[in-house]
Amino acid sequence: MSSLQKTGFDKVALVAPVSIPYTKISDKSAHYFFGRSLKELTLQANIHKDHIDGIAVSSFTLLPDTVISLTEYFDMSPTWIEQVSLGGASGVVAMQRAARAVQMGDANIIACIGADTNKKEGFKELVENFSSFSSEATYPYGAAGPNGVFSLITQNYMDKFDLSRKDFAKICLDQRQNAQHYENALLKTKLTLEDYLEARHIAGPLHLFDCVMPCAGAEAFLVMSVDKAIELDVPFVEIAGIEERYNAYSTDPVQYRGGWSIFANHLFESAHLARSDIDLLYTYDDYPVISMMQIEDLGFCDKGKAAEFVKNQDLTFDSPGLVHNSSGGQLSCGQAGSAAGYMGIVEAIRQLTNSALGNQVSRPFTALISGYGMVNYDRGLCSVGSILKAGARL
Amino acid sequence: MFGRLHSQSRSKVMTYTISLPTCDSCNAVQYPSREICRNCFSENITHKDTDASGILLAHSTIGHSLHNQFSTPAGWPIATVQLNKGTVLIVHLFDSAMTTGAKIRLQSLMDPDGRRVFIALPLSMKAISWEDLIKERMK
Repeated sequence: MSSLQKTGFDKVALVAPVSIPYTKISDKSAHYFFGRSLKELTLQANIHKDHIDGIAVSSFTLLPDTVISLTEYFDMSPTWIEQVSLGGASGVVAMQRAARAVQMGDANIIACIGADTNKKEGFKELVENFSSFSSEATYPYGAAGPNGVFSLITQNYMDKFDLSRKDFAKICLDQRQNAQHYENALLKTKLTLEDYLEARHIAGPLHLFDCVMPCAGAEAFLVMSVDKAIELDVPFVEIAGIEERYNAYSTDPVQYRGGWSIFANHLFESAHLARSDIDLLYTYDDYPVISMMQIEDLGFCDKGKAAEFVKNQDLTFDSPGLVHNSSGGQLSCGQAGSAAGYMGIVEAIRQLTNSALGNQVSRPFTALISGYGMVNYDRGLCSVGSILKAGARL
Repeated sequence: MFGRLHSQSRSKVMTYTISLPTCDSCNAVQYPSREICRNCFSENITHKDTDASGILLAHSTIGHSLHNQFSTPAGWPIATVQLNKGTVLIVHLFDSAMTTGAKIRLQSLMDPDGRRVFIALPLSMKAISWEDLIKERMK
């Protein structure tokens, strides 16, 4: 495939990082979490809802409604709307679409929101009918939902790189330590290696602390021009690069890599940054093996060496080196459906504007957010990545 | 209901087959099934017998299922297998002791919900029914 010469994302600002605290179960609709997000966005940016002329949303549980339903629900009349249904890639993709709309003058202030509720039995219904391929060719085989497919991916990765269960612990333990300092995390109990290894069996090599807890909640932010952010006098973050790749390496019999390895060099080059310049790394951590895959494919270490990479350094928020999933990630905060794909961006905006919720990293300047999503059949089809940097007031 | 067993008279080799949706125009196997060919967009897809032997690529035992029928005492083994002709499938696994690289054959059977599903068996094992499988799993 020919390489593209993309236009950069100059002069686009991300502001107003919003996290609606998660709850394990909720009897509210997805609309409730969208509404709370919109309210918080307007409060943080000190704007009226009528100033929001663009809305990008992601949600599994908004159905049968869509983004257009939300305009009527909240009496809003935007000039630009978008719905991104790409699971763990949704946040980065919504940000990309919104940034382009702002650059092209299609909208001035765009709300990007990932929100989902989690009613009783809601997760089972979502899993049972997730895609036509999964209904036909994975759900009938053990009805394990994503745990089934990811147990096979994890087992294959362990066989391929000669790893044991213990090699996946460090990601989970460091993230739990981060979560103990992040006020919105659902799971804050200290986690030891012994706890990790002795946890309840789920599927194959996966045990309880390798799996995320489905929950309800939302993550949101605003996209606007740098000029608008300065006019509103709100702290902002800028976009140094965004890359996407879909259905990469489709002939690999079992997934052990993703599209990040195809675009990683270009992502860093377009951002004029080296791997060593990255202060904060947010991988999509639906399972530790997927975080490790991203660390490798983004080029922080060689393929198959992520276990060694994470073992040899402190990834927690108060470490002097590379910080990984500073809020505890989904593994400790819970997975609020599509909000999980926005979590890394929102936390990065907080960190880079020095407004973290109890877990502030010391003077970070850059963040890489990686997204992964949509296990349509036997693998995640979306690989996306973005580098953000602290905003510069001119 | 079961995969078919063919005796090839010259070589005396027993060959098991399963039926998979296949493009009449380019012979690409369509799994999971498609109404339009994944390769050439032909509409002419028909079920064709293909060699059911392959190898086990990854294996797992489901300890926590969303469906009661899979909640058996020792968990429910599944596997990713690759047929000798390249098709990759996630299937039921008869023997949880089978590990990566093991040679297997697939058999088709009907599950209690009326779905035609596949199970990976050791090469030498005879065809089984869903009832046989449940008896084995409940031991």
